[in-house]
Amino acid sequence: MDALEGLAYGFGVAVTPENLLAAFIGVLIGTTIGVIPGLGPVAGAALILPFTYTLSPAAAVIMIAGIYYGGMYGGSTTSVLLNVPGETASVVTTIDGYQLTKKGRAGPTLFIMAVGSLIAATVSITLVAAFSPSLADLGLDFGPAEFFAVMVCGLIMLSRISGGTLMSSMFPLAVGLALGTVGQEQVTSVYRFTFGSLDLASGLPVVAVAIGLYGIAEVFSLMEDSGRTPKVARVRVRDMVPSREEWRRSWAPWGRGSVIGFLFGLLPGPSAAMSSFASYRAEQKLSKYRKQLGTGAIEGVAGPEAANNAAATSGMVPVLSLGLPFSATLALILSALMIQGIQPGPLLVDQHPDIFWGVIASMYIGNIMLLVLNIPLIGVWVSMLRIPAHVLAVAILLVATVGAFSATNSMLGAYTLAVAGIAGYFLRKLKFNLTPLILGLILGPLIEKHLREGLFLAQGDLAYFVSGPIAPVIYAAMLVVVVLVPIHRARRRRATDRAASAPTS
Amino acid sequence: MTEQAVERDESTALPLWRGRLMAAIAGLVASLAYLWQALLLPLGTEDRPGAGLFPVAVGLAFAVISVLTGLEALRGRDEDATYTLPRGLRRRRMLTVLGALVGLLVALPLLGLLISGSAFAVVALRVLGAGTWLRSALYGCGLGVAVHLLFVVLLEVSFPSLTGV
Repeated sequence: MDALEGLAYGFGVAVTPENLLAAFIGVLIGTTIGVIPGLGPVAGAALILPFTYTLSPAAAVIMIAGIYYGGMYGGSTTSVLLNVPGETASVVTTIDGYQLTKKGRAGPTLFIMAVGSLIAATVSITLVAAFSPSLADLGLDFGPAEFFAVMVCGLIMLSRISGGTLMSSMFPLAVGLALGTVGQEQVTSVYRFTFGSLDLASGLPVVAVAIGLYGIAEVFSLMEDSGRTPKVARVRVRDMVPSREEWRRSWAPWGRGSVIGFLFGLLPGPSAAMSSFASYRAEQKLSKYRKQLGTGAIEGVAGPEAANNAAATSGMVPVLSLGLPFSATLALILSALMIQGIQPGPLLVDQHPDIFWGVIASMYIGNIMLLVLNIPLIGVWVSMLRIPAHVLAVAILLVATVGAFSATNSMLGAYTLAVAGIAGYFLRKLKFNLTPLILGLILGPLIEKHLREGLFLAQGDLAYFVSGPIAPVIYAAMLVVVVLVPIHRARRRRATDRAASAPTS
Repeated sequence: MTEQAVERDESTALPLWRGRLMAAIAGLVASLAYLWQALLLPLGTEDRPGAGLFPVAVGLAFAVISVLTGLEALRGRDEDATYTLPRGLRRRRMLTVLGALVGLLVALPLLGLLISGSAFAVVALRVLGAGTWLRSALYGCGLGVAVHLLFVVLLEVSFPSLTGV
């Protein structure tokens, strides 16, 4: 199946009633959760994960993907209306978005965002369709050594570029890897760290840990500010149509943002957030109206919003074709597939084209739904911002507890949720990144599997892990990102400091 | 100053390095306990690695990373970075809601979702400021019933319950 045939097949899968409904529910919940400040797509995806068990694998992933990009759109709505980013990828949007609201252009800004998201999805899906088969072909050359290299290096690179100090990511990563070893070991069936509990034999429930770390911990943070009820700008549907000038000035940022977002989505790290920052930087350098950026320029919204949406789309490629999630939400998608007994990887495109192409095509349909939903429903989102935080907090705590229970059908899920919630609350307070913890928990067992398979195949010869053309390239790329780039930056900074402190003649 | 404004100020700023140092110490203790348990597992041979090989490697890495996290925290002693924790009324509210959550976890297998979920929602809403007890009871019971209908009736999740509700 070539790319065009694949995409056509994908659209056939995406328009079945079940998958259309899954996409609709996904973008609706995603936007709702994104609109609520403090709750992001990860919490939304974690909360919805237990409900996806009864769906087909394609519908499950379509729903979670809908939450992912719906959440980004919802998060940007609060950036524009309230100057409060709903999640990290929307931080940049606050800069010009809120200024535009203050100028009375909130409606057109939201419209430009929605159209930009659709355009970005179109560009990104086209590029995904063009490159995915080649990536899957490359993936067929992957053995245990290559998978081990790409997973270990991906986690280390992610830790290096996630922001904060190195240990802010490495510490949670180590915790996640350790938690991932709990349960019955797959090869020899030895029970590890279960302390006699049969419930623990199948490992710590990933869903409960994710809901706890993101949902519960975020709710506790929300409760700290429960007295706050924001004042929201009034937006009417008839005021949403952008002016001709705003349309004209948005095209180039949409195009640039889409390409930037697509490329960032393929890389390890918080790609949506990084791509929106990169897109804003690109606008600062390339836009004709760069001097207006920061004071309410539409380019400052159009570019970053297109970028984070394109990154959300292309971020699906490493997950589906290599089994490599580079963010917490994508890790939950991987988890949803694995729970359904499907192993993501190079064979997925051939063995489950309904999932691969269906999910990619559904993202296009989901973005059309977002556009259709968000323009007439803007009043609903605005009124949602007026719901008192304490009511939301209690509802989320209750639903999360029940969701965690239903994920394992035992109280272990609910207990894990509470412990993970408290741990997540303190880790966030202490400025640790939580994403590596989830990734370590999900990828740890896979890393172990590839390590042991590799050692078995090579009869204990460690050189096997750096043999072949692919693994050394991956390790070299990691060394460049982790070692050489910081050294180069430090040298440049020292040179700049020296030049600044040198006496002027 | 309004009541809300007073409430908003109710948080304590603590040095970030100290908090991270405590996290590192907790991590080190946990990693050593983990490593001790991992060493009890079969390590296997080079060509047939056992179930303990990966956990031992993870345990060692965890211990080293905990030490490095602690050192990094100590290096940042002179910085002004802080983290805030709630105090006063806010802390009491959060601890009460946490207590209610623990109560929910204890009561759920005994009383079922409808009763324990509604009770949790009533207490939490009252504590977090939904208004009078009557209003909290109305909202809380409504929420409990809605969640029960969604999970038990619609999604057919079966909760262990001595009451059979």
